Amino acid sequence: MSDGTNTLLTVAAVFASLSLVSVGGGNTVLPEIHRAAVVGEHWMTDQQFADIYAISEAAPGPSSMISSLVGYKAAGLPGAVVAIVSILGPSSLLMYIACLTWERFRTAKWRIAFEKGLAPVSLGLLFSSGLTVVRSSDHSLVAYVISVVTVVLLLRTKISPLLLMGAAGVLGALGLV
Amino acid sequence: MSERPGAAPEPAPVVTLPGLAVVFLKIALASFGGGLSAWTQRVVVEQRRWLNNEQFLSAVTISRLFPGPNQVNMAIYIGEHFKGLPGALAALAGLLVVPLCILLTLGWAYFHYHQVPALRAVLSGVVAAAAGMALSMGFKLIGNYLRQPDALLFAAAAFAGVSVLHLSLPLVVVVLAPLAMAWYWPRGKAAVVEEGSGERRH
Repeated sequence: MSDGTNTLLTVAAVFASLSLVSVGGGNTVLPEIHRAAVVGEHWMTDQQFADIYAISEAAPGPSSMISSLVGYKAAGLPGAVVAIVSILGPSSLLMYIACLTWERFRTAKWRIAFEKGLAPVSLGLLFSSGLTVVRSSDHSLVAYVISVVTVVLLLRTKISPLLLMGAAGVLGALGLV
Repeated sequence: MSERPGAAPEPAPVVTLPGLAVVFLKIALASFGGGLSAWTQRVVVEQRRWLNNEQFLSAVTISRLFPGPNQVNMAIYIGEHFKGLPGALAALAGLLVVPLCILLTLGWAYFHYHQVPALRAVLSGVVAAAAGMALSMGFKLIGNYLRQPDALLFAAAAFAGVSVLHLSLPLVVVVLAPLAMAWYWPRGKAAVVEEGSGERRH
């Protein structure tokens, strides 16, 4: 970290190069971020990376915000800003351009077919995402019970999910999960 | 905050720039421990009624097809849909600015004190609940499709492809999307009226 500007440029290069390949959600490039931060640039240790992943998962906001913590460790506050702008900028610009085009085809048959057809496909994928989160969470019986109870309560009652997560967090803090 | 009364052809919900920022801030703040999509569905569809379920699923799909975090793309899509570039920026700002400040404060504390007291234990509980929330979203939306065996078949195929056969998501979408599009291709006006989504006019 001899030259602050050089480090910032490296941060920008690392994250900007990952932006457009982060298909399927921000977490798909996580292994690449790990490789750059821990192995390539030695910005942090393995343990630190695992810890900031847990922190960024627990904190509110989209998953790729872990980039800002990597940038922060590498080059302080400017590094955090550069990292988040670099990882989100290119993909966001592409998405925006896509939205503009999308509006122009509002009445096109292929767009109607796309919306009608992709909705059920997406529904199936939503179940897959849910299952992925279930599988990646702790495999204790209590954890499964918490997941199932959460599903039932959310479908049958108007209870706020925040309340359920808070209660589950308390159970975790007590060492019961 | 530029209102454009009467600009939208169908009865559109009233959406303002501060409204977009506030909604996405609310979604972001509510989503600690995960479950951002589920929160988006809850706030945008159930509470604000900006989109119906079908529009929401379509937005989810487009957001997932493009690179970038799904929620960031979703904010851009919804912001742009209602208010153009300023809308997209307002939604993005709402989604990102406050969470970024919170995360950097936590990161500073972590690197300063070199430990995360009890975070893992709390997290294990929160993640279990978040997993339940992620699953509940699918169960809520499936109600729309219970009487449509064709839709259920496409949903089951997508689920099986990713979760049973462990194929990559882009591959599953690339195979299923054209099939589903061909199946749902509009054939004359009768089909449109029958669906009654109220969006098409000739």
